[in-house]
Amino acid sequence: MEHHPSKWAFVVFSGIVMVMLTIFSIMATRNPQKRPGKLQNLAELLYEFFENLTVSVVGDHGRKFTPLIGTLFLFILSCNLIGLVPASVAPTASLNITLALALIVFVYVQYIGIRSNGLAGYLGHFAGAGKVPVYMAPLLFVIELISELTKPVSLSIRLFGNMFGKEQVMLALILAFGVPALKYFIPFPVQLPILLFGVLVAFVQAFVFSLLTGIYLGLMTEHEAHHGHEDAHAH
Amino acid sequence: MDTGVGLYLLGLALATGLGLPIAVIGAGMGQGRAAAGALEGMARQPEMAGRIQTGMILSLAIIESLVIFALVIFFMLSGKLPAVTDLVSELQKLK
Repeated sequence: MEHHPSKWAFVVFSGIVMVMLTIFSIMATRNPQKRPGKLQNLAELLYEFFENLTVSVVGDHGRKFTPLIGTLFLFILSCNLIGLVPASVAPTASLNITLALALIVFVYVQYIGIRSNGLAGYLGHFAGAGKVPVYMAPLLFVIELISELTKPVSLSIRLFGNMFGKEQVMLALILAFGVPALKYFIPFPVQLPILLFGVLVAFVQAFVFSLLTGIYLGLMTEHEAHHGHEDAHAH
Repeated sequence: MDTGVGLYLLGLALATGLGLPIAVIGAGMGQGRAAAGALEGMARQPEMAGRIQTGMILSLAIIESLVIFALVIFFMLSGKLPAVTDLVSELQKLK
């Protein structure tokens, strides 16, 4: 297994992705016009897509989470896709990068949970307050705590495993068939089907990561949604 | 080479080779059921297709993540398997 890229490669390529996304957003929003140009149009289209996604997952009160979910989607998608460019690696094929992203989501979800429910409501949420009998609360609290702590693990390993697995499968195919074929001067791209699959996986995994972020946020702010409904009924 | 090491290598090789396919069989059946249910729902209620599709992708991803865990374990285990040439030279040294 001496085919791993240097550990700095992941950092460098995630930096490249960050710079590209920053330049794109600055260029697209620097000088907003009433009749949008090409870049502004694209940015508006993307924002609308993320807003619809967030509202459909979190609910109407979740509109404020659009920037987080959109940023995660764009960053992960770009990280996944840059790995398909020859001589580059996907930063998301490193567990360090995906764990960092998952921890951002984890901390933010807890923060939102405490802020929207209060500390007592936040702890009560774990104990299933108002949904289960009181004697079940201690058991449920432990189970919910474990399931909450598993979320960043599964979130990060899912993304990492998909990207890393794709690269390893490609490597194995090239070493097993591509390199021997080269001996007979037949350049045979055996990794091509996996590359096509990789494009699909890049989109799906970015989508799943941001969707799950939205669902976790939605679970933490359920009670806000009920308030929203009550307000709507009252008015 | 004593029997213990041989048994260990045998177990390692079997676990590496069979662990992932078993996970894939289970997840394949699960994903097939999930996709079939979602598509049936979409065919019955085309107006709900968007929401069903979101749910389908989500559940497929969650099922798939189990296979991905198995895949990560597979890579960890396959790194522990000795290369065949090393094994052969080791055995010849013993003779």
